[in-house]
Amino acid sequence: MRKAAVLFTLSVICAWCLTASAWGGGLEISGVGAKAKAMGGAFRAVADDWSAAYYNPAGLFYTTEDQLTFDEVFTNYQYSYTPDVTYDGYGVGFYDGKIYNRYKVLTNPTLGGFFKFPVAGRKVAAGFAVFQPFDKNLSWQVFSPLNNAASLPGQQIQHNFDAVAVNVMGAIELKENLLSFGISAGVLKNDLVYGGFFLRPNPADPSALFYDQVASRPNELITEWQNSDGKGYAPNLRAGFLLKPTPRLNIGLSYAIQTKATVKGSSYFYYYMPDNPAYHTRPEVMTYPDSINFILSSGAIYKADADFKTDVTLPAQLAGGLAYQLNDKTLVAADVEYTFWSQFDGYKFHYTFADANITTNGPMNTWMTQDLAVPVDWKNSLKAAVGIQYAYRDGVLVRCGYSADQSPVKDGTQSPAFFDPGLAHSFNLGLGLVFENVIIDLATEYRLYPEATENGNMDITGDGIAADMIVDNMPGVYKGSAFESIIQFTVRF
Amino acid sequence: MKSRFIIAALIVIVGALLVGGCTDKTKDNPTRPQAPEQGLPFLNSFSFYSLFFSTEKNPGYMPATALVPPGYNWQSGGGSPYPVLYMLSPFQGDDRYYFEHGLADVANRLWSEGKIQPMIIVSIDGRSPLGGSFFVNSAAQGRYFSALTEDEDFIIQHYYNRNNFPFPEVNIVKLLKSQALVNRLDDWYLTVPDPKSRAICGVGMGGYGAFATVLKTDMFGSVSAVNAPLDFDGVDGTGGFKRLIPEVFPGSFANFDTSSTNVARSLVVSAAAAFSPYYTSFTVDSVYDDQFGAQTFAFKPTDSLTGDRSTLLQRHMIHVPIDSLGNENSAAAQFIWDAWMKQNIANLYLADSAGQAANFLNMPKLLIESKNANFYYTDQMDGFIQFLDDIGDTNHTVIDFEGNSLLTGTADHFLYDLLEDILIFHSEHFPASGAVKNK
Repeated sequence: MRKAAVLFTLSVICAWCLTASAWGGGLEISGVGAKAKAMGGAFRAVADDWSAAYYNPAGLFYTTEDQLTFDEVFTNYQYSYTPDVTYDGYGVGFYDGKIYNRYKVLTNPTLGGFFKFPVAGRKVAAGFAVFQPFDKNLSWQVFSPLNNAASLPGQQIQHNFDAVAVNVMGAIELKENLLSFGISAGVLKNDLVYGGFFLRPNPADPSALFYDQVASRPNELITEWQNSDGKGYAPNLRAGFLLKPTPRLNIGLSYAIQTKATVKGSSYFYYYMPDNPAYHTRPEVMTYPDSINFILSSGAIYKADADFKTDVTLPAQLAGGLAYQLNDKTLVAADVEYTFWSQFDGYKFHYTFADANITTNGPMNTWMTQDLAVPVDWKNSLKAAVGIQYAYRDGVLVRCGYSADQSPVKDGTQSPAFFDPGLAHSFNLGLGLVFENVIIDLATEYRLYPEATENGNMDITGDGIAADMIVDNMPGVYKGSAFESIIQFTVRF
Repeated sequence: MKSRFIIAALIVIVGALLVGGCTDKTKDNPTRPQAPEQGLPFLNSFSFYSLFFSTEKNPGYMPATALVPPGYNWQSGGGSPYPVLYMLSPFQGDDRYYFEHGLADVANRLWSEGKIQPMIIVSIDGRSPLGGSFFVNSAAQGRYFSALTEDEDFIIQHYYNRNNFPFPEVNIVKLLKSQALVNRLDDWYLTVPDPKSRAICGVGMGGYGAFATVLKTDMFGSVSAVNAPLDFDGVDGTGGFKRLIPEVFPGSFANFDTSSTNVARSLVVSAAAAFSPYYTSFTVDSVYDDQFGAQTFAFKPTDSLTGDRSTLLQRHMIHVPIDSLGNENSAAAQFIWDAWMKQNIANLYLADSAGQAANFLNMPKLLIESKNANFYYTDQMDGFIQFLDDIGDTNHTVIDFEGNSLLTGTADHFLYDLLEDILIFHSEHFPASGAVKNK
């Protein structure tokens, strides 16, 4: 049995090493750690393993042993989007039918540990953790330009955001057997890959001759696609209290600060010019290849490179929880967390182009090199979770949980890149196997999103944020579910 | 016992991954629709003589562009014949106009979707030296109606070495046969040479040309127009052109804006040349002598009904329904306006000089109005629809096109969408070819 466990452990470590670059999760993940995840994330008043770094660092103080833990998370999002996108009543090139996000099983390793030692006559618990509190990894193929025969790159919409926290944590007891306090602090490394297309109003001058030939339907919108890849760092601080009013009852309270990182990196652009061969082949047009009318009817694809930067603001979070030991075998817990998602405003890219002369036409270049934005207008959201841990027998713990998680996305602003169509229900199940020096925790979660129908027109200019180049919603039907499994190994010493 | 739990747990984990994570649904994702088999446009495929450019000595050409449907057997000319849709260009538009507004894309899409039957679509250049011909025979601009529908013989003169002194000028006089475009199409293409298999339509000026044409000939089976000048004085008799003309000639001729970019003025001047020419037998020596390259500046309005017609300036005078003092109600202005109104569609119908009134009444008609129409064309459309209702016409369909609230624009701006209505309408009124998949 021990041999089998060792082999399995080695195989998981190998898998981790092979896939370590493929991080995954949700913009805020539904939880960290196999034990907490199996209880639906109701863990702020439990917080008795490394995941206290995320849930409540104060819980670390009451741990009774030193531990080193790593886990591997396997995630699969199965989201669908059925576009119904129009620009004031007209189709703009979205595919017909249900579209699934690009299939991928995402893996996400985590590492953590803690130990206790005496300081100035008092016991202090300290530890470290490398985990991912925020993540989004989605890509979609939904669109082809209506006025250009070329197709966009494979990952037309790609939103891969990873916020990896590298934290140290410490906890002390403020009042013996009653109240502890803990802090988890460190650096949040933000990696962002955002690829997306922007349907921008045609820049032709309405008073110019042949305006209709270059800017009337279906050429009133021009497709610009960009991909930006960069990273930035921000401070990360979480603090919490754990109160033990009775031997059976724990009350936890934690707070995570708002962080802001400036993400910098490189971008590349494709511009899909409308193709109007009947007009473009006119001698009076072909004679002036530098003219904006020539460019806007050419069907050409222009390319450009730039450096970019954007601020990424991640929200503060306030959470509390209860845990009650019903009897020797059964622990029940409940959490409520409130995340200030209104602090997150999406991405506003500021570009510095390597060569701003993308075409031979000055005004066209000015138009092409404008900054772009992917704004969001979110609301604060609430999540509630309950969980149970049952000691089936000595060394065998069975866990289950449930959580309901509000979507921060306001009605009318849904988009595939920030998929979150409504109140998500998560059903969790897990198992803890305690050996002499090793604990194996298993957890699996099924998350179900409601079907949401986004009505109306695609909003390009409606909200005034970075006006004239905004696509901040995509009407249609959104639906999805997610599966997540965690295997976690803990060494006790 | 623990090993059993481990195995059971692994089964749960692996099962969840397999069931939930390994079902690749993306392979069923929709993709870009495959490009349908394309129709083939023949740009400027027609060049035939007519009294174009208003000179009998230098007859011009009437450019037209045809779009033949996918599968058209161009090489052998065999197979089933096709109906033909004639599309007359709007003011200042040439034979590329509809193609520049997406005609080929829309037709190819509708063909691939089976929404229209295979047909040949011909787009015709309606420009004149003044901007637009209105597709009528006019001494001042040319014989556009005849070029479309009537075979004619002309005696023309060709000049050679005209500007190549000291070589002597050679004047060649010859008889030229001009074949009507409709007949030329039937000769060259695989068409159904039957009125029911021919349709005619147009935007703006082309819409007038379409409706005027079906009242002068029995060659067409259905007709449509988008924002067209179909009732010159509008709903209440004071709109339409009546309202536009004083705006073009504010105060007096002295304020006459000769800018070639003043489209409204060019339109009125062209309409004047079409409906109330200074001469009823207007001839110009040549495009060279009369400097037609600068014609928009040479043509001047006048309210004189007499005068010396020998000078170039006099020959380029036109009549507009307003006098030199800006009075649109004077006797001179009213005289000219009456000449215009004789060409109004309602009067063409009532006069019935070609005996087509009954045919017209039974003919399927499509009238498309869009907001933001130029030149008070909406008023003209409304007036004409009212006229059709008054005469008991039950064969007209009206589409009110809302357009786009985010973009200002005229029908031109949304022709991409209107073309679909036009093509489907005419396809439905062509005799069934059996080739339509989903009607």
